[in-house]
Amino acid sequence: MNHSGNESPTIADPSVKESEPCPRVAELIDYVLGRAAPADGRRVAAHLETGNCSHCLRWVQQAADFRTEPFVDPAALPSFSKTPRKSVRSISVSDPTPIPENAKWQRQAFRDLEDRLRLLDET
Amino acid sequence: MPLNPSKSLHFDSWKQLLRWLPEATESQLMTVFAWAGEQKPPPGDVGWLVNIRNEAFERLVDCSQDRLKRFLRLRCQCRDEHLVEDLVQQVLIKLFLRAEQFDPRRSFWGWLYRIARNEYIDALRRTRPGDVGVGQAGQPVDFLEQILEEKARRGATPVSIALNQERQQQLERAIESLPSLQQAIVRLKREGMKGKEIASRLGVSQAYVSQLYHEAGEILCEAIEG
Repeated sequence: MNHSGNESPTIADPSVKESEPCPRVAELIDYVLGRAAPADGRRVAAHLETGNCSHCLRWVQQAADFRTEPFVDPAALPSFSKTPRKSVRSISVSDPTPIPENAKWQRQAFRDLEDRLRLLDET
Repeated sequence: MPLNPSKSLHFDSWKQLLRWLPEATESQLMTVFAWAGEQKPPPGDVGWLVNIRNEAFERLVDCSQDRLKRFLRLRCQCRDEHLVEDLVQQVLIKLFLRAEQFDPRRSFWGWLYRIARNEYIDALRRTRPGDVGVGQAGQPVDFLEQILEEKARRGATPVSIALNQERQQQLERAIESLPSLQQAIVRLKREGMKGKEIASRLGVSQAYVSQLYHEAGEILCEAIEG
């Protein structure tokens, strides 16, 4: 199932390959939770790295809240692990609704920060 | 190799199981998904098992999203469309993570709705701490009491009698569609039996009776209110 067709049109980038069909939701969740088989994980990472599938990115962001252990492959998710995570709501520029203080997001942000600090310590 | 996801589901091969998935009900999909997550097949079958598990969950996502959205909008009175979208995904991820908690003796939808309502209440508490109490989140009162009260309020005009009969039939049909344990709980409650008595008669805990009764309530309210 490819959900990219339902998203708002984007300017075609010749460097981006023809998008693969979206991974199944279970594969996305397994990937975020570090439970995916290596080959599946690489396929999901490759799909996410194209960065133009907001459907899958949204599932990944939601699933990241349920992570209890540090993510095993931070390099595979540059847009999530190397920049502070934003709420999906903040993606929509036209939505002026203020984002409420949210303990869950804060906890996740702290967990991500700890993960990154731990990675820095290790390297 | 025979595959038995439950007492009533038997397949001769992975292929046969995979082919059957499009016909499965939500409850059967959940059963297969939970079963597949617990199996330790020989190495050659791992790919099949993962494929079946992922396919079962994909079908659950496909058939649940719209109904969950409707539930959150209409029954929980969630007016924030972004929140509805987020909640649906959170509920389905919880379903994924808690598959082993699914009990085929309870209604799949009742269980899912309870998770959804709890998620919504949690979301309200995060945004309005200390401001979420009884009656928030479209929290239902006892649905049977509600129906009886409404009956009494309406009096006995021909229109109200016809309406009551129609709702009564809808209610009966919805009760018949519940899994047998939940049906028994609802019927015994309607006879005026207390939760403790029902629990001892059916051989389950009182807390479980209460949980299943309220989950049944979500389904029955939905059946009556549309």
